[in-house]
Amino acid sequence: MATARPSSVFISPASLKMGALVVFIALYTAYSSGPFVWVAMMSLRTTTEIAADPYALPWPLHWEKFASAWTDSNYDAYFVNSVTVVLAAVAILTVIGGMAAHCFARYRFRFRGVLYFVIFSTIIFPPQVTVIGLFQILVEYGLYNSRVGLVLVYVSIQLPITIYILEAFFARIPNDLFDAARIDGYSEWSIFWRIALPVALPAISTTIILNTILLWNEFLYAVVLITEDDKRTLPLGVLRFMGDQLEDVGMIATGLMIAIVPVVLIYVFFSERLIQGMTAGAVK
Amino acid sequence: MSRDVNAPATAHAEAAQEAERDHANPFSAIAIFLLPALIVYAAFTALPVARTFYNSTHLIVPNRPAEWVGFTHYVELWSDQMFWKAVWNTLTWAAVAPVLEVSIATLLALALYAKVPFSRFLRVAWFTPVLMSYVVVGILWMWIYNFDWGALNALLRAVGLGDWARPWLGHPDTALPALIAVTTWMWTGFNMVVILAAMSSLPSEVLEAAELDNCGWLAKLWFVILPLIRPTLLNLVVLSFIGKMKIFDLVWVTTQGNPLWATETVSTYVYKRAFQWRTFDLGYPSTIAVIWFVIVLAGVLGLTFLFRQRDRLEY
Amino acid sequence: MAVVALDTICKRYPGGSEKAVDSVSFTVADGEFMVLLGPSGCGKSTTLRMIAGLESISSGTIAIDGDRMNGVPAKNRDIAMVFQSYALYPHMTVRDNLGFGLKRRQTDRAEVKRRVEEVAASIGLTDYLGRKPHALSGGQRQRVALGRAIVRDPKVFLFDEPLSNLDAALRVSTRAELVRLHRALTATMIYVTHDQVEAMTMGDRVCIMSEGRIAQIGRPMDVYMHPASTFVARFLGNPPMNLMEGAATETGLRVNDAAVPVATILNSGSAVTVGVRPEDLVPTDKADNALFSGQVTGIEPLGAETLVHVDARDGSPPIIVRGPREVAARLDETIHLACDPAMIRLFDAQTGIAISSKELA
Repeated sequence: MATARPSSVFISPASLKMGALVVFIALYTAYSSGPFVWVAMMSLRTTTEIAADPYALPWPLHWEKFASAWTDSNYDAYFVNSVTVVLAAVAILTVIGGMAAHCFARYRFRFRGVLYFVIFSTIIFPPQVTVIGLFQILVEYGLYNSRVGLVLVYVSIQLPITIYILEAFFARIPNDLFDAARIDGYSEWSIFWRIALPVALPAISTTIILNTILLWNEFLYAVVLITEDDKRTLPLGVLRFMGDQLEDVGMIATGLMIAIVPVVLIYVFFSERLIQGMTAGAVK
Repeated sequence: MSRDVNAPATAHAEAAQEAERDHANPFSAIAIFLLPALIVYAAFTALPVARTFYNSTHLIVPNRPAEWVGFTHYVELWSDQMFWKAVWNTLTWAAVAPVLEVSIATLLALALYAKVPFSRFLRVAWFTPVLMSYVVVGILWMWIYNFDWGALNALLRAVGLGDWARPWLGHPDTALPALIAVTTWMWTGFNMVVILAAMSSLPSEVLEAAELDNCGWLAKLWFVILPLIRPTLLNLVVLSFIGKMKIFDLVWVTTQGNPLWATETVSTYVYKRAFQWRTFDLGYPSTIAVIWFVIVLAGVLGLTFLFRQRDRLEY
Repeated sequence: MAVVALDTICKRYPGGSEKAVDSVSFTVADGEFMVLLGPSGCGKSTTLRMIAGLESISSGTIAIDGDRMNGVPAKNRDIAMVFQSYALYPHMTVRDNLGFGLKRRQTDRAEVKRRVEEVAASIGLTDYLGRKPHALSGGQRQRVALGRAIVRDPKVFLFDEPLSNLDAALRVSTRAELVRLHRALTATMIYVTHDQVEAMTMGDRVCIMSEGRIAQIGRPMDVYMHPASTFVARFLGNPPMNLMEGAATETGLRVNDAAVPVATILNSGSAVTVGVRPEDLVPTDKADNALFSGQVTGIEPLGAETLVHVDARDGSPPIIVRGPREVAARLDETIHLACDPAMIRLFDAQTGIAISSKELA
């Protein structure tokens, strides 16, 4: 505590403190970003080059590796699967999650508190407790190894947090707005579409971005519910590729970059929204 | 809380039947808005959970009807060495990681709060790891921990500590700490952002008041800032705890529980028993899941209770 | 144009033991401006929302032009409402806000456009049609809210404290504008407020409510001059009516040892509450005939008038006198106050209900 105040030491404690701070920040930044820089460099180098020196700069740049990842391995199929599954799940989530959240925020009805608590409490459930039962159910209903089944499962796992974020936002919309729309002659259904959703657009986009990223990265349910190669999503695909081509480090790095790039793009364009969504559950 | 909401709702419904349609809460609209979510919830969350509980007292073998075995699985689980090893590993992870993440994150947040240059860039750089799939992260760190050409060993050799170089994920003593370092790498930036947000939303009058009281920088941190953001810190600890109790992907991608079950977690063990070991019985892994569910629930409730209690004492 | 009739309306909220609105009955004539006035929580807003169809009616009936409205959803009642918060749709421009309700009823786009522009012109918003609410000032938002009601040309206009979010100067001008609007539209309007100035200046009639019940209905000046209860007497008027204890005698009243020649049919000796408006009290030299005597504890010059606080120092509540710009009274001196007996109002000491003028001989 004494060092916090100006004192008569020879080296100014302020500059000492500043130096320590800079070193600490530099070290942590290297720890946190170094791995990305490394994998990004490797993704543009051939495996032979990497074997010669894993840490050299990528020169010449082998952009063609991305093209061959697309054509030679199954990355194109994995990528398309991931995009379709994630987009479908996010679209359904937004609509039915938005409807439920609107309902919880707007209306008072029997069992409202109980229902909300039950849905919300699933956030802390460990996935093991659902995954085995889900596996059996999907097998019985012919949804095992099907993208439709995976979409529905994805909807169900992201539903609680989606409702939680949206409900908090919907509840802040003043009730008068809905009364005004009622008097203006609109039904409850069109009030939802024409007033609630547009007004809640910031929260809606937050959940869309959050769900997109989390589902894009989802692994456990996919690995349990999808076994056929042509239905695999990107995380499964990358892992599968690694299993097949253990030594082909350069090509695996390219696959990793294909999985990372969409996320980074979303992050670059929507970083504030994304951070909001990711941290929504943590701040009360 | 649920009871408060419910009792009036019951009376309300009766009143509405007597008098007329309740304009403010039309039943048909409520049903339409709620049903899709409830159906998805019932079919893909509630039903599977119920199924898992049912499984736990049955022998579930393909193409044969489930056979009631009572609590045999539970008894068997009690003496399952591997299960307890997995529990120990997971609990270690769930105890160590939150402390590491939240404390480092607090330091980082303070650095940014003190307005170091490039703070926007740093925030982005530190937050990025949490956006990655565990698959990507796992593969990346397998390379970093690689004995021959991994970045960590390369670094050690470069600074003359070549003796310390080792296959970090290949040795039972270092595998679990190595993986804990990976989750810390992933989640610290996330925690930092949350803490920074909490710090930024502190009322500036409080800090100015501390300034006027001639409070030193450290004293201000310890006596003013930390107590004020304490609820956020506790939340983050609980959140991180829950996350680590569920951990599966990272282990599955990197070690699959090896070496010598040093990194086996409950999640990976359930997965192995259910889908890998070809025992073709889903009953026993369901039992593990149920027991684990109870432990997680107890852990979360315990943490919440503990923190509540201490908060009350302090006031 | 419509007649709104409320017949023993009650509202009981789920879980609440008290009725929020208790047996309220009144009829608003075609083209009348009715003000519902009362302190917060008196049930005035709930009554308005039941007329609007936003709250269900626990018992009783509401009829518009003779048609029973119970169970009819808000959208089918042909009413328009202006909210305290304005409730403008934040994601729509002024044009869309004005046209939102019309589009639902009127399919002809050109007609909607014509109506919107006509109304925008009449309330001076033509230049702002392309703006969104957040880019408008408070007064402009208020006018959009008003325009949204006007454009619909409804049977009944409902106002829920529409001026309380405006600053004082704007409130005065908007008040006048609303009165002008009412004359121009000759529409039936029901206006909820807790502000007695709004009630006095705008209403054809005022309905004062207290604890879910009607305390008094009447023309503003009638209510002011002849409050039906001590509640109304104290609620209306600023400062409120002075209330003193008194008793009936054979020849009139005895108030604070002074004999007041007011004829009553009350039994001699029965206790009454005597009410006098602050402007009806005048200083007098004759101490023995004074209605009230006490020490001057405060003098508040308000510019056009002066309020003088007088305290008898005997535990009875202090009296406020409204005097002219310059008053002779000095702080701490003892003064005596008298009043024209015709301006004295009497209330039952127990129930607070007015002893009507008929009972006064």
